[in-house]
Amino acid sequence: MCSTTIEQVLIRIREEFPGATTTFTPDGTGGGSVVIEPVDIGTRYAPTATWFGAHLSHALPFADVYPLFIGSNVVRKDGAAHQAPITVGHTFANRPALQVSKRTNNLLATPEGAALKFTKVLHYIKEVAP
Amino acid sequence: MNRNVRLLFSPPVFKAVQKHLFPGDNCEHAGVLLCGWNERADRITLTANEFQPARDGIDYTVSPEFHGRLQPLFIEDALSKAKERRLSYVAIHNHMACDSVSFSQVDMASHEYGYPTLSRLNRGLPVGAAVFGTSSIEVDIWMPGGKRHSLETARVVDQWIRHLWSSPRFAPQVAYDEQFDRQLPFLRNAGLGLIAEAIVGIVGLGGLGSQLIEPLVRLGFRRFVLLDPDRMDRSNYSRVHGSLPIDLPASSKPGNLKVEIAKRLILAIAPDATVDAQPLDVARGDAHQCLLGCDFVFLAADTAEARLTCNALVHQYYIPMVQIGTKVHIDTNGVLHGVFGAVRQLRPGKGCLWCNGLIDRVALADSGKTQTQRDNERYGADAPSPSVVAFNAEVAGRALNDFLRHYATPQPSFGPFYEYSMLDLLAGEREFVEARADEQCSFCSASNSSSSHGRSGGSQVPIVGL
Repeated sequence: MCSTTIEQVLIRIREEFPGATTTFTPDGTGGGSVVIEPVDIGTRYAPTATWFGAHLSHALPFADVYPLFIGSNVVRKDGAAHQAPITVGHTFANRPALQVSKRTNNLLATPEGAALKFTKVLHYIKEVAP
Repeated sequence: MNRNVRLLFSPPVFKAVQKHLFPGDNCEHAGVLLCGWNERADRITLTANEFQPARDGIDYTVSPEFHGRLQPLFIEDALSKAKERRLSYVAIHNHMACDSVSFSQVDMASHEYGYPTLSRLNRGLPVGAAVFGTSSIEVDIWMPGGKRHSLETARVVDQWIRHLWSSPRFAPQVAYDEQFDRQLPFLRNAGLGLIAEAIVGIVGLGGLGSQLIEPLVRLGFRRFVLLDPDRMDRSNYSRVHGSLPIDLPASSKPGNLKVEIAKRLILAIAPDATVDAQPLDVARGDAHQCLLGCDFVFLAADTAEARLTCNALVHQYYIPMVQIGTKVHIDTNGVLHGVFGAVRQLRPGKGCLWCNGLIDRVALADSGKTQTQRDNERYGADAPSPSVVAFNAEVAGRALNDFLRHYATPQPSFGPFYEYSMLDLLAGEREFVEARADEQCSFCSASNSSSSHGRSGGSQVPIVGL
């Protein structure tokens, strides 16, 4: 079971990532974990596609979607180590993961805002991350 | 007829009503207020959400006998909006009166003729009327089921809270008591009456909230609602006012509840006080409903969940509130950078914690996660949160002074008001900050149709605690 807000967030996520499979696992509080895969993370990384996930709090749409995770096998093609806010050594939904710790305090408190967080962080990983 | 209705206004709605009813022509004018409403502890509270002015000669006509009347199409339009938004319908007009106003016999006869039908049409929602003098209001509210109620008090919940009655004889009165003699010149009998009748809520009875208790009781406040789920811990002992060695945890028992310690302190000073001590988190379940009858609330709990819930109560139920906190900034090397206090006044449509980024959305995201998840996600060092009783006392004192000035004294002639006071407790300086307000805000914006502003009873308060 998940809240109506989270149902709406999941609908928007599926619209944002049409080619991917979106899997939601309820946590028993009204929220749960969502994993989207595959997601293209661009040519700076190998592999270029991975999974993308986050916990969706029952406190949505007021809560941030934070942090987000991608597969731990993702490495930079230039051979450099990941830099903060991408950190290693985490797990998410029983998967080894890299954590992407990007806070967003100014998105609208709507299901669209929550879904947009995934798009924004993906853009950060692909284009901005050091 | 029970005299138990509270009619609460945000300043813009009250200003619009006054401007329309009293344009200076000494004539009667009319309109409709659409109000959120809730019933609790034998009191009906109406929150004026929207004012629809009636156009003179079109929506509001006057007969040759000088009896005013709202036109059926205008009524139908307002009633249909009320039904659609689950609001109560209150037809208003004015009399040429000052601090004392009442319905005429013709008014009352028309209510008895029309309101049973309107009540049926506005299914399950209150309907009624209000008549305004320049400094007075009377209401005749018909609840679903047919019971009628008149005004206990009306308020304009601005930074300074304006209290109105149908007549000065309904203002709270207190007999002279030598105990309060030295504060009488400042507060006057009117202020002491307001204090004696007020129900004060305190959310969080820790190092800061507990500081409020004794001064409030000494001032004459006698009715309290206290919320805090926490028990005393040895590390709290240096800061929780009223705590005694017997309150500390021992091998045979946990520490005593902080609300019970506060209650004991109140009753030790004023055995006649009424204390509703709830060991509950305001952000869980329906605990916030304990606050719906409060006249003013001090928010001294520093969690994102409590801030979210209480911020919603201010804008939805028009409960005036002050959020208080202290912060000691020490870096990871132990260097002290400053000690700051915040006294943030929250009023309907003003001072919104959400608009000003003062509700930590990451902390909200953590709610619902397991401890293992949180540990796994920890990123950077969690700084310890220092707290010192002397700093708390200064912030509590500032909040109490503001509260007295805003709630129980005649309108201050000085200004302008700023919603937030930021105190530099080491430098002894104070900075005033004008709070932002976002037109799209789902809590405080009156212009956003999906906002819960003024929708008491018609919209759910966000509860994020489990």
